[in-house]
Amino acid sequence: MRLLRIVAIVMLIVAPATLFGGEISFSADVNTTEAAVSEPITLELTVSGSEQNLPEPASPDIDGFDVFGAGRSQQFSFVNGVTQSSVIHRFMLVPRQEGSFTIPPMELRYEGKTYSTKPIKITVTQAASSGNRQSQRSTGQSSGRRESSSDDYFVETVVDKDTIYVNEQLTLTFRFYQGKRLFSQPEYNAPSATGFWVEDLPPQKNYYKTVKGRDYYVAEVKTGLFPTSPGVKTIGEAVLTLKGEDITSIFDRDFFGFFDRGRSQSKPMRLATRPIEVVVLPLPADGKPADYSGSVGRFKMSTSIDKFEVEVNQPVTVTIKLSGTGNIKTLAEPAIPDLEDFRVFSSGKSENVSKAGYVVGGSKSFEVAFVPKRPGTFTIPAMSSNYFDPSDGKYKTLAGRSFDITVTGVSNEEIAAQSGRTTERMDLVATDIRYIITGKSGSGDQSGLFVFSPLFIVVNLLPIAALVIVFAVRRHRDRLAGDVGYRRLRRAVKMARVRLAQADRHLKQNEADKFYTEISRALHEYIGDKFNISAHGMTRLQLEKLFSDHHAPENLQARFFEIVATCDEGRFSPASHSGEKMREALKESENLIVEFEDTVK
Amino acid sequence: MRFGSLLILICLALASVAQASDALEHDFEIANSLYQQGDYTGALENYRKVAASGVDNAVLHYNIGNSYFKTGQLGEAIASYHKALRFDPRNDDIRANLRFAKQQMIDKIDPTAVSPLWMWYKSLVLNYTANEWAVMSSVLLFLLLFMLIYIVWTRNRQFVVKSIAVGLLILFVCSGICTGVNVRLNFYSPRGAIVVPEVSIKAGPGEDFGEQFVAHEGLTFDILKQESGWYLGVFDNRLKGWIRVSDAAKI
Repeated sequence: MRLLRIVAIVMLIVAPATLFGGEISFSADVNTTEAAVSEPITLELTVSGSEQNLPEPASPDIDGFDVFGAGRSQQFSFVNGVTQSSVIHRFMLVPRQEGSFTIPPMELRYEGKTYSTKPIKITVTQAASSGNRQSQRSTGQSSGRRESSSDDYFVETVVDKDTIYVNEQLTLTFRFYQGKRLFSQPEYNAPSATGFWVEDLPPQKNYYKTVKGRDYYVAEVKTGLFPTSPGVKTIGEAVLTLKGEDITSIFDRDFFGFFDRGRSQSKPMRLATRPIEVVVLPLPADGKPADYSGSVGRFKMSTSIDKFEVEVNQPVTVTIKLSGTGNIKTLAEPAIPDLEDFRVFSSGKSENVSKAGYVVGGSKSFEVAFVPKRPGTFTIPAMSSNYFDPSDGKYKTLAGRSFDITVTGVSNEEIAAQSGRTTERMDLVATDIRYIITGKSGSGDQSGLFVFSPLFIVVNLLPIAALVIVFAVRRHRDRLAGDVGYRRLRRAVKMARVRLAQADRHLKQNEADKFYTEISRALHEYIGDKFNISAHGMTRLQLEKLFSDHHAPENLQARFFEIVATCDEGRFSPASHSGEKMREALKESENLIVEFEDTVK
Repeated sequence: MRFGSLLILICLALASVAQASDALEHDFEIANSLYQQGDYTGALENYRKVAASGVDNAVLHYNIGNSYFKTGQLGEAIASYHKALRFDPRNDDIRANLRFAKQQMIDKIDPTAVSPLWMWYKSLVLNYTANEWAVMSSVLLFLLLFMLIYIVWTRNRQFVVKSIAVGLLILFVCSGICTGVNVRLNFYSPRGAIVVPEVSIKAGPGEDFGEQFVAHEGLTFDILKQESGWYLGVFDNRLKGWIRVSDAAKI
């Protein structure tokens, strides 16, 4: 439990720094680890991270070296949506004496976390040119002012102009005149410069100068000042404090007698300069461009492009480089045009501050990415910027050049239409007719029209005929199945024939009464079936009416009644009827039925 | 094409002319090889010999059209391609070459005052040959009668059965109409194509009549009537005029 609690506490302490604070890195580097005395070493402290506002390391204080700020350079990069910035702070380290020194770990606190650099070992050797310099010095000293006086040391500050424009560089020069050799580093307090942007201008310059007949060893430090607003500004006094030992124990020492240092004590000496008043002029309103960027100095502009041919959705980067003299850090980004055919965004900037010749300048690059939306040929227009040139008091305009680029590929709209597929279209460019058809018969005749061929009629009539036949058969069967009258009609002759055949058998056996009964039944049933009635027991009158209704011929009616009468006679007096007579009656019955079928429907 | 091949069989059976086709086939092959060698005039001559014997088919007309095109006779080529399409309306080669030939024409006219519905119907009807439509109608009639026989015999009067029969009846009637329209368009509505580079369309059948407008080679028109060596033609843009018979080819 206890262990857990400790872990939890540790987590609580560590977590905010690691989880919520942006990680930064802090490193130190020197250009060389071996140097002669007075030969400056460049120390670079690099702070980098994804934060916009990176902390600034304190100016280092290193034993055995004079330390001067030597400017800084800053870089931003914008990669995959993540901003990376790094600031390099440069310092000049001037070794004071030979020996082995260590640049101690530099510390930087940021969001509750302390970052430190690795220590660096530096070996300082005897200055190569120091022999020459020392002989000069000894000459200077031999001319002899051994007594200590206020004339031994004095300081002055000088400005190069007393009337300047806002944001124009004012160079302040601080000089320390030494009539006698110093053995310890004096303490320097830079002048207060309220209302100015201050830039250290290394390196320190050392030289000999004769003032009022006396040779002095001069240490000169320059500072660049950029006024931020117009008005009368005062640069305060610069103060140099000399330690007492350097002033008092001069007599007893020879040049190399610094081993005796600290032997005697004396009051320190304070040297101060006069404050300086400077008039800062506002920038003239006359001729001020509407889109004035605020830059003051003298600049050039160059633009470059990384490629002239690009695919849709691939960026083309135009780099605008402003270089010249002036306050580089306050240079504003040129106006980026808004283009219909491109998505435009600023993809990075970098600045490089140079202090060559004690003039602040350098270059600042802006990268602008143009991402084309559709294929074609487009012009990226020239971008422009402007500045105020204090040397002639005029505003100047800078213009880059325009670029014509070719964009290939498929436009976003088309890609969207094809739901993300990228296809190459094959366009038919017909330049000739297609070839003849070979391998097929060219002599067959196709002109025959099937519609007019007999086959067409036959083919179409066959199913029609089939339908008619089927319809008729169906109808016949239906009448047989459902219509008794129809069935009786169809059966009438057949039944009559059956009865007559039976009558014939009775004839052969000479059974006259049965024979005549059969004949009579055959005739009556035939009539009954034919007209779908019950003919039995019908009177002669009823039958006559039936026959006339069906338009039966008169003679057929007479013959019918005659044979019926013969049958009646035969049934009641069978003996009077011979075989000859019976055969006649049978024949007559058959004929009668046939004739009836033919004439009466 | 399913019934198309059946149709060819029927036609072949009917055509007793087939016996003489060996010699014609030989001429056709010669023409093909002449064309292949680039002798388009020679090829054309042989193809026309085959055509002159009364043979009429898609391949022959297509090859004749190609030969005409190659010899620079655009109007004749267009007329031949139209003839070929009559027997093989869905042939991609014929369609492509007709389209290509039409692109070479000087006159570009938009059909005006023609209802889009009629245009659609016409393209549907002409997408099949007259014989294909006839076979289609016969098959539909057969199916319809089969359904009727079934109904009569079984006395099945269910709604589905009756619907099928009514549907088949409607299809048969439509198909029959299409057959008629196709035959009428393909064989009883003569069309012509201008075969000379430029021709003056006259107001009447004779040189003395005034000029209506000027037409160029390849333009097609409906022939309304023929009178003393002149066609009365109607162009797709509804312009009407008389064209000398020798200046046009009948499609």
